[in-house]
Amino acid sequence: MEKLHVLVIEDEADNFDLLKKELEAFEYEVSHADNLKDALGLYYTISPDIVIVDIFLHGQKDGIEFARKICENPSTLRPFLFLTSASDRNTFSEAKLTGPYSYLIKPFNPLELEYAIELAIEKYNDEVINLGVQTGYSSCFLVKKQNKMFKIEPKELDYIKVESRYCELYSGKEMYVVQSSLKEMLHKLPENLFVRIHRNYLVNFKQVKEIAAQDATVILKDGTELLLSRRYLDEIKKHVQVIS
Amino acid sequence: MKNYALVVLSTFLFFFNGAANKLNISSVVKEYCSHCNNGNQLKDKTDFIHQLHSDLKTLSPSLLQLKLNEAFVSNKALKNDTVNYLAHLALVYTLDALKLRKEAIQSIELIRSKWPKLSKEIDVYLQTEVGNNYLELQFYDQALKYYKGLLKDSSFKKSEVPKDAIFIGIGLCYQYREVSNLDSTEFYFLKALQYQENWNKKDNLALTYQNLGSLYFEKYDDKKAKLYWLKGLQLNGGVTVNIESDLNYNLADLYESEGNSTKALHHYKQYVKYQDSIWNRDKLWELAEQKRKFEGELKEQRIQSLKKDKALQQAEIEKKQNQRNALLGLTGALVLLGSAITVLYRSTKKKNEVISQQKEHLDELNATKNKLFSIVAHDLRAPVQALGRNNQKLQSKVLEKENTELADLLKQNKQGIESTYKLLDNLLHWSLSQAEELYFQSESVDLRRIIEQVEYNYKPLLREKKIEFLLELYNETLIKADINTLKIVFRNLLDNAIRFTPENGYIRIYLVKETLGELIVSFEDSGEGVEAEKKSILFAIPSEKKSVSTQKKNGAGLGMYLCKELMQKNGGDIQLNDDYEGGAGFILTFKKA
Repeated sequence: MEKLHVLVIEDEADNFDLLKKELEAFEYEVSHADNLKDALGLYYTISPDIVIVDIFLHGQKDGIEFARKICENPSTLRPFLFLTSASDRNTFSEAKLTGPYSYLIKPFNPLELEYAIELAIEKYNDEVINLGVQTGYSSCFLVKKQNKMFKIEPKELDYIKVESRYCELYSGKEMYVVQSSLKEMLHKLPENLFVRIHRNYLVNFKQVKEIAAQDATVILKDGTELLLSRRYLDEIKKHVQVIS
Repeated sequence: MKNYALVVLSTFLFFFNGAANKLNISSVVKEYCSHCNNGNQLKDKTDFIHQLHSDLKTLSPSLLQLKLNEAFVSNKALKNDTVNYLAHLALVYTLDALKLRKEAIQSIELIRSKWPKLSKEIDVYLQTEVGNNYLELQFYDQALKYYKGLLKDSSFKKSEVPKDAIFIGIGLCYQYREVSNLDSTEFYFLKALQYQENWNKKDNLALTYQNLGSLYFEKYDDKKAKLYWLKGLQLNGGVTVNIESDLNYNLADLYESEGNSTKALHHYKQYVKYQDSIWNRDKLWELAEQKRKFEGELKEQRIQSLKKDKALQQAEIEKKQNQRNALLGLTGALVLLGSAITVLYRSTKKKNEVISQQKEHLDELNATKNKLFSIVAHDLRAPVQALGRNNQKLQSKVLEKENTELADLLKQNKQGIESTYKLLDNLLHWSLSQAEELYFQSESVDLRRIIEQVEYNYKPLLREKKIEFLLELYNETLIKADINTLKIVFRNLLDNAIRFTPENGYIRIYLVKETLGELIVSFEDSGEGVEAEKKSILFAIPSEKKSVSTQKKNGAGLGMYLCKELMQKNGGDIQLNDDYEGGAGFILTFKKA
């Protein structure tokens, strides 16, 4: 499990200090740029998980320019949100052209910051799934632990239980709930790592100890027993040796 | 899951072919044909129709298709509109029977564009066919377009087209298209079911049970899935083997995941049994199919040569058509000129009416604006003047070094600045919204979390007055609204509530009820409530209304007016709750996400 890395693009030092304090309280890792050129350089070197960008940088709408630039390449696109003190349509109409985004109006409090970040990620995920774009980034799961967000990679998971509107991710002794349908889940997971064993279960086959087809169960290395459905047996056989 | 979906779909297709032969285009063509056959037609036409009538009964689809293609090339009788139309209909029938779906769709579209005024009743059949064919080609969006068009068509309701098949078609489209909508699927399947249960069509019924079961299975509602699958099996007899086989397979799987292996085994055995019989039947069909293909290939060469003749004739026809078209074009131009003059006259008249209406509206708006400006000017002047006076006092107190009074004055100033800032903020948003310049983006938002965000800024004030804040909404109370304007509404409501509620009071927000499209929320405080004479003008444009707060109240009352306007802009509303007597109470309506 890793901390989320936030890139803040803000030209006023006071505003940045305030934002940094609040982001660090949420246990985010923070990087900072105060102009368009540095921002783009940093964006491509550190590949942040979220970008918070002020619309106005040094009196120019460089924030929007930044967004436009990073949207040109969907495969490296990350969720971002605009910071602004205006709520008029002229400012936003340009921002709207830049793809999935959310915004945060200054002054804001920590709750508003948290919500705006979550919304940005949500919109980003919707967009990515609709477009069917593989972004590399989209294979991570953002999970909440004690109200703080972290990211976790599929290979860290043992198995996934799918319910109708959400999924339970099991990793070691921890369980995280994420809002995701089966379709979204299958889109996220790397194909050569997970296999479906039952309509409710996807399992990391590196964690499989044995498959007992007769008892219709799959036993994991840590001893967990999961239901197995014959329907998926052929698929499973491609990946693992079946003991019957 | 994908393989499984295909099982369901293929069964459906099988059923549909059966239905097509029995109920759809062929019977229509036959009926129409015999109708024309009995009518008073000229001799050569009658011959053709008579022949077609008997061909439809005796010839196989592939042979009939050949014969028709020949007729299109050579037969003079086809120059008659009715006969030509009939021949085209018959061609559609053959294409359908031969499962040449793309060609069938093309043919139907040709008929519909060539004879746009053809009988409404037959058009309904044709549209149904197009929908069915698109569905079988798995072009779900196109299929949906046709099916939906039919539902809106008044002649569809009257026609004999089997409506359950349409409903199922729509349901399947929603289920299998790229972005599936299982709720819609459920709705249409249940509609079909209602229809079928009334008519007791066993085969269709079994299939709908199977589809419904699968749908619920996919929605993780195992109980309902089991219910419908078992219902399907209970129909017993008269049901196609494919469907029974699928039902058994699905039930076996369901029982297995439940851990009921005895029942799972029973159904699995049944499934295997049916699979064997299906295999036998399919083998027979395959043989028949091969024979038919062979027949077709023999005639193919003959068609090729006939096609060339047809092309020559076509050229001659086109030449004649060009001459006729030129004449028609000239007449058309004259008619157009006449109507253009009329239209021009009418539009000028209408424009004048619109302009005078707009003028009235603008006058009204301008009057409102002027009124508001005068109030605002007054309300802004007073606190700023007070600030100035206080500053003077501060200056003298600083010189006298009277620290307690200094603190008092500073506190007064702070309050004055805060309320003036709020007034300015409201004024800004109001003017932006009046000029349609306020950024507005309606999206799915969590009402509870938005209120929490607004309340966060009032925490110190609430603590200072020991007011209890009760937010009784579920997590993920999702509504459709613009976040920024929603926050303005709650900022105003909370601001008022805190101002008018005495110490140790409470503010309570709770869900009253949830309807199909709306969420009704109550907002109450334990303050003094709205005075009786103010109730009727609470949401009106502020005039000289003033009220006295428990502490000191400033502001032009623009807030409530803004709340109303923004709530309505978000597709909801805000009203005074007259039934609540413990203080001020409001009923807020939101659009559900």
